[in-house]
Amino acid sequence: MFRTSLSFALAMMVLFAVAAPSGSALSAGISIRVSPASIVAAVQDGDTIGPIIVANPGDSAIDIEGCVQQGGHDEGGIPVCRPYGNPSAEGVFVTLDPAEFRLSPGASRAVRAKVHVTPGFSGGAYPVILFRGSPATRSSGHQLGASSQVAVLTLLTVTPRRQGVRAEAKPVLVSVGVAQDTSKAAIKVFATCENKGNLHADLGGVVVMRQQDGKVAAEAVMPTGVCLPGYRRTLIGSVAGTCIGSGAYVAEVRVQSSGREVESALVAFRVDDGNRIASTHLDLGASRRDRLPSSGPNTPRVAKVSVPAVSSGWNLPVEVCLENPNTSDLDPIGYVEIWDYQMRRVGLVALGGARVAPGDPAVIRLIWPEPLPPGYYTARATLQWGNQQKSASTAFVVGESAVRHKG
Amino acid sequence: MKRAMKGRRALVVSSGAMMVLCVLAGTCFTGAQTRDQAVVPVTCRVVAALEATFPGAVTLGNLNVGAPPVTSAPQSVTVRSNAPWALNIKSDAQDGRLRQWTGTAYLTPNPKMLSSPLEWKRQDGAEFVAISGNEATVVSNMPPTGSAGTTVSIVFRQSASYDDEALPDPGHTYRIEVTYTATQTY
Repeated sequence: MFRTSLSFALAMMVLFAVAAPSGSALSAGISIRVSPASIVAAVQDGDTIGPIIVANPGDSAIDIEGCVQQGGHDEGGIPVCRPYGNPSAEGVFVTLDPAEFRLSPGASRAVRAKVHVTPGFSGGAYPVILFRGSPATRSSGHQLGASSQVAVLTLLTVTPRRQGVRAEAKPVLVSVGVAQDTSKAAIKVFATCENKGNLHADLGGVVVMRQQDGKVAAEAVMPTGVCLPGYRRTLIGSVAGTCIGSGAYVAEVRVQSSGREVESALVAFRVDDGNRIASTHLDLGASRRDRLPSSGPNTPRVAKVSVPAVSSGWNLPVEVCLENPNTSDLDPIGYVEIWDYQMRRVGLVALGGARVAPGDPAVIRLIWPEPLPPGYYTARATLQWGNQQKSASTAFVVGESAVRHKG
Repeated sequence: MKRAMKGRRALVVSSGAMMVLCVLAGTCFTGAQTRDQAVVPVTCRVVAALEATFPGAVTLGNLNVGAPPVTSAPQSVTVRSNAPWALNIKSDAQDGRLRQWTGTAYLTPNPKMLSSPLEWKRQDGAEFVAISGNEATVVSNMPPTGSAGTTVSIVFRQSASYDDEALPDPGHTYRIEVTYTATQTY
């Protein structure tokens, strides 16, 4: 009996020794709740937003101090706040009433936020309201003092009152890329947009992956996210690796702002037999520059794209001639697009082929998978090499015989 | 008398006719009610809400020169949110180093400072990193938590060397203020 009690006591001592913090002591924490945690509103000078209910769901009294900072975000949409230099010099600033108060356990307080708009300002303003909490009976003897705050994000729009002044979002696609998500056995497609307007953009998008025969292999939705003016936001679409077999693909990224398509871009990639892909990041500004013929002499390029000048539009043969002046082999990937006379893309296929040795020209031949109705077209072939793209194009005509053939 | 009876019968008959009419009318009304169904949409929006329970202050105790760094117990932040959220951390010292604290304020001017910054990591993370005055992301792109909430635990680590002076005043300590910020994401 005694031995059992002794063993139990020893076991408890060991347990406490393990559970005790190694050389650290703690003080009680605090809890804060805010609702709403984000506010979207069209405002004018003097408007009040809120109320924001700040509550103390914890079991000890807390002191709350509210402050307002300027909101921004990283490419993932994580808020990044910075203090205002001079709030009254901003287009919009917000004052809180009350800004400081004490909350007993279980208590809550409504805080009103008054919006001040500088005359002549219009567009978006994005103050972040921070409620910092601290225990009402604060200890100062600890080596690691802890401050705790919760944020309320605001998306405020000040509608312009003058003619010719607009409040609008202008998202521009600045880069796209593909990468493997090994943890989820998925392929991720990235699209980074920069908002060059003066109003936040509600971004979303879709990714469509096509094979060499032009068929859709997979589609993915890019979850929506807000992009503030002057900031960049990356949207990510994910496709399960099991949906994609080995081969060459082209992913078409279509970015939408408030549900309306605003930008699109293409990125090619190859899936090997082990379902692996090489990460690709295309700086679209750079790749647009590189489409000019002034790129370096030793870079692989599309020397020529050939389509019969006049054809029936059925089984259209397309030849893409590649040059590899580099000193290493080239695994060609890219895509071929066909545009109509209104510069609408009417077809897209992935381009892939055998390895091209240094110095050798190579020709990739393909038969366009879909018939084209009569009209004027441009075929553009793009070679993607590393993180660069090089294009060449040619014009052609599909004659009436296509209709007769079909008939 | 007969006339009176006749009149009463007429009254009864007319009452019966009225009842039939009422029943018919009632049936008609009932039929009308079943045919003319009213479909009323009920809509609502749920307000974004965010709740966080934060840890309190921490005492690391005595730091011994030459001994392994002192590691704090896990500091748990529990978040409940009905929208995607993130947790950031920063310190009140840009370089992340603990400064001489008088018990009520940092010593000014010329406080003594520890030579190496306070380090932190998520309890399930691999590497400690130095804390700084710039916000660092503890967790990001976290999905809505549901009622159960999500707990994130952080561990702090501090080392000492001969570059770190022992403070002669027993009331003074080295101190830093760590700020946790819970926020929903854009």
